[in-house]
Amino acid sequence: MKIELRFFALYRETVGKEQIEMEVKEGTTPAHVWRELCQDFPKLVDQSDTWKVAVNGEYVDPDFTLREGDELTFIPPLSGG
Amino acid sequence: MLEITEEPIDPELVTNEVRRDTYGAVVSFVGMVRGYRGGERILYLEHDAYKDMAERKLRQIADEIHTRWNLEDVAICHRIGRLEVGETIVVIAVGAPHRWEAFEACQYAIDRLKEIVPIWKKEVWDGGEAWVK
Repeated sequence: MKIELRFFALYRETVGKEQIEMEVKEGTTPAHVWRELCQDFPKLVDQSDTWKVAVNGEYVDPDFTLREGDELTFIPPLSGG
Repeated sequence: MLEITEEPIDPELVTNEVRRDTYGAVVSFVGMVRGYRGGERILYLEHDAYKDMAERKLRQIADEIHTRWNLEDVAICHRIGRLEVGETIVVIAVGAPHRWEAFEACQYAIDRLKEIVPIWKKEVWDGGEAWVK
């Protein structure tokens, strides 16, 4: 199935893109996707303890089960305000 | 008014959103670009946001304030893009019958914003830049 990844701030700069479409297996979780991303973008490994994750604009747990068409966003440490 | 904008913010427009004849207080918070980072002089800031989600999270903060203090008038406006030193980053305003609840709710709003609203700032100084953590 296909999912959409969106990147912001530090992660956008590290990955060099705002959006990526990714083909993943049924039952894939954000934690799985992060590990895959870390292989393609080794600089992300240093960030592994700090992200939160959102699916379709709502925070979810890293072991959330993704579905076809989900928009997945890894949220770097926040610094608004 | 619960919005993320690329335009400069006029604090008075935000506070006017939460004035009512039945209220005795409006408490507002104005966050602005600090010109120093430790001893280093900041040149400017760059703000990025996950805009759809950020606006939904601002709505969530207003709903939480309604639940906790039974207040309905909360306005939050947060700017993104490039901001110069001294410019306004965010304005929060809470209107209430009495001042104590407006003070409490306004402090709650800025604390929650920093906790759950997906906005990021990058500091740029002479010779470097970094996303703030």
